[in-house]
Amino acid sequence: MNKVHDMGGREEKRRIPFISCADKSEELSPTHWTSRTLAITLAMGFLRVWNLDSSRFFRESLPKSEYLSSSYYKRWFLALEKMIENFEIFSNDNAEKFSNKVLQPEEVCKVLKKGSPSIRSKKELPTFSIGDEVLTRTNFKNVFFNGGHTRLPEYAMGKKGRIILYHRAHVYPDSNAHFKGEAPEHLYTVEFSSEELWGKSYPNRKDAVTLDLWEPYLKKANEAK
Amino acid sequence: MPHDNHNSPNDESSDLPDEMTLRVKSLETILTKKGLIDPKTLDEIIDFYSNKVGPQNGAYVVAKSWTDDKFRTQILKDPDKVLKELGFFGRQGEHVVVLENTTEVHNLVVCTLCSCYPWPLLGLPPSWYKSDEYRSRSVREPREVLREFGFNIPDEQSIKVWDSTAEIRYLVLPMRPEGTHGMSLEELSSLVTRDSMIGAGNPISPGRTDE
Repeated sequence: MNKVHDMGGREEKRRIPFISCADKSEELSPTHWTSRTLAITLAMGFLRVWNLDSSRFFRESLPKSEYLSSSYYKRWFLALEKMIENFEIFSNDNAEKFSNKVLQPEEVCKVLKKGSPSIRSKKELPTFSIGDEVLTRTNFKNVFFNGGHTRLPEYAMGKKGRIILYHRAHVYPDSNAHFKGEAPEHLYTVEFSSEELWGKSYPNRKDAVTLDLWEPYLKKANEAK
Repeated sequence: MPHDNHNSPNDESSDLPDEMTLRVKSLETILTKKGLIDPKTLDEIIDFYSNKVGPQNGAYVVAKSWTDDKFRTQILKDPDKVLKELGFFGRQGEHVVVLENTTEVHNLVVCTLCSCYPWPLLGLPPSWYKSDEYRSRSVREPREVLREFGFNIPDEQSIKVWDSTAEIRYLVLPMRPEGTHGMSLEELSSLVTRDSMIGAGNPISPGRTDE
């Protein structure tokens, strides 16, 4: 059973909800709660108590009904509340620890333009090369944390694909989300035919889906399961 | 316009606005009192994403690629270097891949697990991109999804859907529309829609202009 956030290929009959240009809810506003939630979440991230991967884990761990009935930024807000509680942000012992990390207005432009690249060096060479056929692991689970974060969607588990891009080693979310270190792993873009993912009834033979997958999600196509 | 017709949970205005407004405001107040955030910092962040980044950045990259073969080669080969030089680099756009549409292949970008999107090039994602409907359906039935955008992909053109499951961010480089010969970079940029750089539309076709 996949987790609530793992949406790819899920049975879904509803049409794509377009919002007309006249609806301001899609635009940023200095005062609207959605924009404030975005900004508070980004600003709090700079305290470095949690990281991008753990934030995603908190969002996707919201109770299913709450996740599904909430808008995008409400999910962000509910996860932020949970993180503040979980990491005891309001504990008095913490106030001093954070004082020199608080993001200042004049730093905003610089830090957002700098970003935080996830590429890392790794001594071990990549196992796969561009063009290699690979199989994604079946029933894959986080090995660092029971029920933990992973970025291999269920719809792409146990499927045969081909490596089309290699991105060098990147921070491994399965580990980083649970504070077990960045544990960099080689990252590849893997292409799957849509027919392989969705079955023979998929109408267009040449259509494909690609995913960005870390090496532990993959094995050689001829390796026994 | 009154908000009276909201059925999708992904429509941000469908939550009781008063409740969320109050909850967010009270969290902001307490975090400010504790000295953990500065409201002026929040204003700066919102200003940054309102005014400093947006689809105009991506549109420049696309239009420049249409007019400058050397630039096109570079942006396809080493996008991060070029984007850094242009100042279109940063959070949620640290590792970019540019996807070239051709008559054979049409590219479409999604993030089925959350809503990853190339912020420095396109700004923050539109509501439909973040919707559960788009996240679930675009990998399984991209042609039907695109038809809802009023966009038909011919059977002979294959679709490649890029599910952004890591920190790689994708920008679609659409094909240059017909009838744009001799146009300036600025004129071409104005034809490049946000949706066309996600793969959910074509650039605006200039068609017949009034004499």
